[in-house]
Amino acid sequence: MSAIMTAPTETSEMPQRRRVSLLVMLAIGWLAALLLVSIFADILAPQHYTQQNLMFRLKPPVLWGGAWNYPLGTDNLGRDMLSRIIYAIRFSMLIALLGTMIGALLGTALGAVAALARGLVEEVIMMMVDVQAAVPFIVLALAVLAFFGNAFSLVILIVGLDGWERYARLTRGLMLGAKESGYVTAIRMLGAGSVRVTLVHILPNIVSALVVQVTLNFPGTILLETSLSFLGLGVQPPLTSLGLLLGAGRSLLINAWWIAVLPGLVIVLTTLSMSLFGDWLRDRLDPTLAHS
Amino acid sequence: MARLILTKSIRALLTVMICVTFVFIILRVAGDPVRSLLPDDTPPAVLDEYRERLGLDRPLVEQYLNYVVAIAQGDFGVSFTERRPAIEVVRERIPATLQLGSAAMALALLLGLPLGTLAAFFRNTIIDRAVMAAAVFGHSVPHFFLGIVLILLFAMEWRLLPSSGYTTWQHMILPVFTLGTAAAGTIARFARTSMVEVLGQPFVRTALGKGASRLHVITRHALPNAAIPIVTVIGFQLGGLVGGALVTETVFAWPGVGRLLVTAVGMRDLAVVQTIVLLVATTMVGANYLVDIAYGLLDPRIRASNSAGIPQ
Amino acid sequence: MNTQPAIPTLLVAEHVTRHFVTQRGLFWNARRVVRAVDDVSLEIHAGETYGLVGESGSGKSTLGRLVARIVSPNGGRLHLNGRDIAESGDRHDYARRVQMVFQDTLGALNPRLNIGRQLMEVLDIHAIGEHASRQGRATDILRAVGLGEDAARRYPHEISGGQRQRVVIARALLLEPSLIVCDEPVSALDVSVQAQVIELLRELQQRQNVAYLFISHDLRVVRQVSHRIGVMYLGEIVEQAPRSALFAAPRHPYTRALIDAVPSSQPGRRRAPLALRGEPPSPVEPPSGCRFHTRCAFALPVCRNEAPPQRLVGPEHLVACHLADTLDLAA
Repeated sequence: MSAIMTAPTETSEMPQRRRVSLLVMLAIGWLAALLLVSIFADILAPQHYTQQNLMFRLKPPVLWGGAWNYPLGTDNLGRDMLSRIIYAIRFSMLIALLGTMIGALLGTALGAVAALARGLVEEVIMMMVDVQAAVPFIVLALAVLAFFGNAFSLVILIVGLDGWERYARLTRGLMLGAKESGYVTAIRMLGAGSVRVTLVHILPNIVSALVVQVTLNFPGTILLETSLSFLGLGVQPPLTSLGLLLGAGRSLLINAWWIAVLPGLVIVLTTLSMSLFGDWLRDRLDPTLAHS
Repeated sequence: MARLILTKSIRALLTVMICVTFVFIILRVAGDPVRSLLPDDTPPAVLDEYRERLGLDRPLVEQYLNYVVAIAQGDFGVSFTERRPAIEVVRERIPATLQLGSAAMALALLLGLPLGTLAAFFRNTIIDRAVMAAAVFGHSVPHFFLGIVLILLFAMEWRLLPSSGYTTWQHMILPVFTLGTAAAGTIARFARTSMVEVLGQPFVRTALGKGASRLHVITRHALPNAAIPIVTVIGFQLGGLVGGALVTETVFAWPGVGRLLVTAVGMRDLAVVQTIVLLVATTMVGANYLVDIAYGLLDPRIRASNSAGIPQ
Repeated sequence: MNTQPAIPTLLVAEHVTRHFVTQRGLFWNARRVVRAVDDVSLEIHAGETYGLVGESGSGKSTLGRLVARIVSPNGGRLHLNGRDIAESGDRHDYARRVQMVFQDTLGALNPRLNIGRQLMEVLDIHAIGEHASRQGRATDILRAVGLGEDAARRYPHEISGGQRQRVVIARALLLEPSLIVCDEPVSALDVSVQAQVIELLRELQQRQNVAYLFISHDLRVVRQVSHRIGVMYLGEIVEQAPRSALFAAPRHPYTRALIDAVPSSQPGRRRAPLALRGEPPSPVEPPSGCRFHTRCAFALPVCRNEAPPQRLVGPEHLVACHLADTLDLAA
């Protein structure tokens, strides 16, 4: 696949006309809000997420009969759900972002090495990619967590590794294409060394594809962390995350549905927003990339 | 064609071996494998026997070979939570998962394919938009959330269906729906894209021009050509189903392999964990392998390019 | 002609061979060897244009890449100014002596950098001149190829094909090489633009005394620019001659057929055009003996059995044909 990109054009012939602006704007707005909440959690949250108010246990959210001092209700230990959710957003975002960076960097680096080194090194790396692609990551993740415990840093690492193989495959493919491309041959002919060729010529042309891949992977990364935490195997108390809240709320579903449903709604809105944003970004940056 | 099968077989085998090696490595790194794979109160004599069998004082290569032989013979250690060979514990749960998985896949296909085709046929109309919106939604809602919401509504509020259990067919409805919807969404999207592409091709217009009915065109001409990417997608979705089964079984207390894995991880029952990981890996590799072969059979271009060997 | 001072020989190719191996599948048969360039010898003099002409599959592009040192020969040697190019320093150094101009100009330029930056980058790589003066040099070279200063700010896709070709030529000239390999430089351009670019190449040659290895399938174009011409067929050079001699008195049936295939290049010709029989054979399994014998109207048994040697049949005129002395192929 050639890495040569034509000037971005607004094609009006897309098979699926995006309902564009409004939805995408909302999606971007939601994601921005999440980011702000994560950063300013300490200021925004009325209480600390571990603070218990035993007199006010299991209060419903304000629209279902609750009071304004606990707008989203409380849980079985009287902890304010609004605060819990705010902090949970911070933790989940932290894990997802850090994890994504780790996975993207590692995957891209391996892909680049495979493309540059070729030969046996490339074979080995691609085989690892195949293995990773063959087995559902959550299974491997669980295995590692079983064997090594649930330290927070380990959770970040594992969540980050989800999907590394996609970056590796993508980078390798794009770099191989770029290596054979006309301008790389030409600039080599003009005496440029490998370092310059890679950094100045190849990488900038593949960055946008990588960015798109990040948006494609991100929902899966969030879902992985929430799934793991939901199962009790990811983030551990006293820390909190959206998945953890959901998991804890499961047993209280009959009495206090809001404990599980509200964090769940946040998760759904986040993955939806990310998908919409990713699609839009992909259409803007490079319409030639196939829709997945 | 034979070459294709050979190369694919070798790759599949290699992949499985890598998984086995991976498990072997983390098993060794995480501590004494013998203690990990056997219950705490196993008599020392048995521990020693296992140690000798696994050859823990032998060079690493020999240990590895012994391990591989043991795995091949079905000896994955003993589950310390149930005090039975791990392989048995896992084997018992397989039917439940198969039941859930196949029903979910069937649902996904039955929902996804027709809806996707419909959307393709009526593309850019309200039907198309509605179907695609539903598909994106189904894809974005995590299994556990969907399951919980369904339980909340159908089991608790409206009391129509049971929230957990395994005995009657009603018990299957919610779990299957939960597991199948995400896959249905993706399949619908893919079917639509694939169909749109095929329907846009000249030979379809020719057939329509010659007076063939729309149904005839779809079934005889469009579907077979669209089948190839659809087969690929099904292959991808298998992996998603496995991951989804983990969560879905837990939410609905469905006694399958997924839920077993979760509890085993929680209890650090490494023998069972190891068994399931290798089982899943082998199954997935096998499934991908079959999909690859099917792909090769369906797409004559792949067959041709493999055997003609036209030099560039 | 005999009193001309000897023009120094710039590039000498001696029995150069290059093949490619294509492999399909793991174990089975199918290791096929394409003899892209087979035992080719030629010389290029300083400041002259050597036109290399042939159909696709003739190996001319590969020969160009061998000269440009993009690929290395499997057999034989190439000498530049007397030194074996394989031992002439690394790519960096060689770049200052031999450069290449490509057919696909859009592909040869980085789509994300503007023209000026791409030119300056060449200067940066080779640390030519002071940093401050590089922009000036880039502008100068743009002017030298007939482009204005504002071209430097443009991006490759924003300018026309002809302008791009000028940019690629400019880029090659920045390093003041003594030889530029031009691989189908005008094939993608409209005829009117072709003429302009060819004129540019000629001017630059006179001004800077740069030699060209001009590769093309288009005999008309080759005729316009070349001092000497080599005709390639299936990896071999079948005839080499100074331009006028080649067109007035070709000695190889293939050359004759190529000339005849160009419409209106021979107004008022006396003889019937020589047609080629059959399809060009695959470079993977070239015919035995003289590779051209399967399509040659004059083939004899000896042509099938023995490969003809290169023979001198006139001043700087070489032919590889068993029947060179007996055939009269003059127009």
